[in-house]
Amino acid sequence: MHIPDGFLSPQTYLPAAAIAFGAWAWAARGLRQSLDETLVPRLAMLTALAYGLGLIMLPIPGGTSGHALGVAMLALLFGLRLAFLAYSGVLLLQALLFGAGGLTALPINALAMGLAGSATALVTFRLLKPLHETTAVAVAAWLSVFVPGILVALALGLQPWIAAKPDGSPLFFPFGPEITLPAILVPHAFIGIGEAALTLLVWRYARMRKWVA
Amino acid sequence: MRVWMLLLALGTTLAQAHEVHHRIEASGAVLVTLSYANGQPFAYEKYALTPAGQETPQQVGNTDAQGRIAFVPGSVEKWRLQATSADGHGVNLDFSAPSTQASSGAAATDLATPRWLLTVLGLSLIFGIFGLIQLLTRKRP
Repeated sequence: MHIPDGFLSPQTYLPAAAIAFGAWAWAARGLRQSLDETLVPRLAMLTALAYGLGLIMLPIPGGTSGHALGVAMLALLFGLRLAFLAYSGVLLLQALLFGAGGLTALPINALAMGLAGSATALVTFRLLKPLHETTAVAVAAWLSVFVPGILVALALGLQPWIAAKPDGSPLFFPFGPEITLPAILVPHAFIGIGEAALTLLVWRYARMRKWVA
Repeated sequence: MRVWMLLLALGTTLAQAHEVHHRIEASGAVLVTLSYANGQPFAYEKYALTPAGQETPQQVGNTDAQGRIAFVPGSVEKWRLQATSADGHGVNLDFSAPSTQASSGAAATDLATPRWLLTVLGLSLIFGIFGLIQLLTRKRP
């Protein structure tokens, strides 16, 4: 789901960068107060896990491949701000070290996966928790993959309309949303199931260790 | 009879004008292989190969089943390869075509840093940064 460099037009990534820098500043506000000696090692461990998960490419029928995100477990255990910052760091490392996602696309990737993914997980969990906690965690994790998938598919799929040559041919990503939406969402519907299972495991371990209330 | 012969000759000439000729030869082509991080070929995906500084691609098409693109660079050294799949994977790569005469028959050299080393480097950075944060946020007794 990481968008590489050269796929997005400046008309897309420049406004996204402005929004992302604002969001990073907001997330970093009061960071020192929210961190304590017991939380930092746990955050480090799960950030490392999210980093590792993003590097394990699973073959998907149809010839492509995908990976889990790990953003839901960060959001459910550490809240929106810390999850967004930690996952943005993960995306930055993956872009710099592996070329998995581009630097110009980092703001879109961070906003879609880090911010929207975390927010989706938290809102879903809070809405469903009174009904059934396990279901709430699983659905939250599944949606934390699916909703960023929609955003990334739209960001890519709108490129032919946003930036095109005078003859109408696309300057950047060539496929429209009618192609990108199914191409991204169908595999990620399956990846979301794995994400849900993994998040549930981490959540139960965290409950056992009394990391969460 | 002469009229029929004339028409036949004319028809043959016109038919030849629509033919597509072919020539098969072994010549020095450059092979680019694209794959996902797990080694799976980037197969049957769209690509465009453009000489550096130009806007019109010299070659467009789809990668083969093994994720390969073969092209003849000629005198052009610098190239840009754009390859995309509908699900947002792909590359936007500037590269220098190796001399086909020099590399003929030689194995390609992979100068990339090993993936495991990059993984360890990334993990070290994560734990290093959080270790620093831990030191900075530690409350003094």
